[in-house]
Amino acid sequence: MSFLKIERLTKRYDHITAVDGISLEIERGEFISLLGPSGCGKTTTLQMIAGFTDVTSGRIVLDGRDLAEVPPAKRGLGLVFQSYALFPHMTVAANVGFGLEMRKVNRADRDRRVAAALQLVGLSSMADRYPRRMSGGQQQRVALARALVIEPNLLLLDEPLSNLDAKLRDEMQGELRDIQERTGLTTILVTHDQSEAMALSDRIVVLNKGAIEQVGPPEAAYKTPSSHFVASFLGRTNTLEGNREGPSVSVKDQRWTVGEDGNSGPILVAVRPERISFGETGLKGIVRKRVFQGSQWFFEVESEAGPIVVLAPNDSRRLPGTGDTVCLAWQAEDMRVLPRDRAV
Amino acid sequence: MNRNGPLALAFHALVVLFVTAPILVVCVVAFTSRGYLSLPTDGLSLRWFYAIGDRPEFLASFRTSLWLAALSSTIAVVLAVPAALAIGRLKFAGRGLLLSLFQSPLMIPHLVLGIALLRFFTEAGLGISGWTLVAGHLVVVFPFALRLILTTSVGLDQQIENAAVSLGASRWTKFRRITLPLILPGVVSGWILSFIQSFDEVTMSVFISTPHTTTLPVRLFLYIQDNIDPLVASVSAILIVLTVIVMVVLDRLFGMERLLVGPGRS
Repeated sequence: MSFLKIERLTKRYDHITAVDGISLEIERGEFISLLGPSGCGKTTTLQMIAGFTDVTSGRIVLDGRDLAEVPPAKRGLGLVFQSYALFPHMTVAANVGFGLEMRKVNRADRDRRVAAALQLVGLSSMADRYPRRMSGGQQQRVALARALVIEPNLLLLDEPLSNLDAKLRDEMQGELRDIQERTGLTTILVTHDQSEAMALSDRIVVLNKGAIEQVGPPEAAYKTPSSHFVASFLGRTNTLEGNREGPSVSVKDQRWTVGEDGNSGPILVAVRPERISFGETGLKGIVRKRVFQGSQWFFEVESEAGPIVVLAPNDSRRLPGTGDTVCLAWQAEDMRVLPRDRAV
Repeated sequence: MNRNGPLALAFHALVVLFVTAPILVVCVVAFTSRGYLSLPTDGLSLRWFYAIGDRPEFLASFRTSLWLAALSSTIAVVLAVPAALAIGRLKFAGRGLLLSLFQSPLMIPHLVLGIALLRFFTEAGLGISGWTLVAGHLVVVFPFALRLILTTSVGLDQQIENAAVSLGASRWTKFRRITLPLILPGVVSGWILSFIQSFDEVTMSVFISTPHTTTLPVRLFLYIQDNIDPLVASVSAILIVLTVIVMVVLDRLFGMERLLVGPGRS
């Protein structure tokens, strides 16, 4: 029996179906990301778990309890919002202590637990400050401490890092993962940032148009995307039109033998830019653009099969310049064959 | 910082002078020793301040006005808070209509309102009393209370309230500990503005006052119909001084800017 079980969860507004029959099982202690573009239903799903949005149909069962019977105030969930949603008229300590106060925890215990939570997020010295006197990163930590101090059975993070600048975001990612591992809290993160989802989670749930596209560990989802949408959403990818004849796949005059047999006919081939190399033979093309990115070079190549992007490591190898004619090559195991009807 | 040029400074000075001059003149006239309204050219006198003591009805009216203003603005605020929260944050059918309805007293001349209320109260068999006066003032001040509370409740972040709920707050606790403190600047300034509106109201009150519930402005209005002596000036001067004291105290306690403009961000 899994810790959190979502069964055919659906949310319909007047004309739109925001969440369309999502089913998902989450184990205790897991870190799950709901990943997708805006409007994919990830936030609505979170809101339904939290109880702020009514469920049209389906069930959410947390630790054996059907949440439909539990009002939002009694669910005991820890929530961190994108806007932080701190109480502006209360000090940091009062913000963090609010949940304990609601639980009628006595003063001494409350002070002790608030201090411990603030220490966990590294803000012990700021207990008496007001939120408006703090930076975004600090406010986010307060929000996290406020959610953690009530010892929630489930931690819900709604785009918690998207208002922070890049450097701070990386730092907070590390801390989030750290705290999650230390506390062993089951966590659901809602994000549109694929690198954040991949960096943090045990499993990624890719959502599109209110439905689940793929569920799996970040590496697997990246390496073997189950659809064109997943392939293009999780990192950059090249999608080329090709043909399949049994175990053989072709793009233009290039041919690969993929292991498994399949139906013959037109297909799509997805190849990650970092898997493509410049070689003596392969798909012909002309380099249209090259951009230096520090540890790597970024190329845009106009090939026989359409535009292709290539990422090449910045090592001692000689790389082509703009206008050069090149051959692009990759191994059969580096490409993913997708049905063509899912094209976007 | 914007620097004003000499021309702009002169203009601003004139505007300030134009606004404050009548107030200053009234204060100076109050100290005259003559029996008519005049600038005290031959020495100051407290004669007309003592004269108030001979007319207890002015003090009674002052008390009536304070009670009336306090009561009507308090009731207005209590009613306006739920109305403002609903209109400011929920989308429901008839929302715009409701807002227009609540604001409509602003557009009706107080003269019309006074006559209408007098007819209404007598036709309804209620007669006119202190309570009907409160009801009348409630109609007049409610739009002001609503408007100011609405400005603070519109900007309220729904997530903050959701956060409180997720931490275990009941509806009432959420309102008392989170929502109300956040809209408090609007509530306080709405109350003050309502109080001022009510205290100041003459036109409507003339119609629905009784001899026992004559407000101070009405008393002054009726008085100057028969007498033109500096008593009205001395009463006005006292009101002005009281107003200034209240303003200074409020500013010290809360900051006038915060009350009237709303909470500053950061």
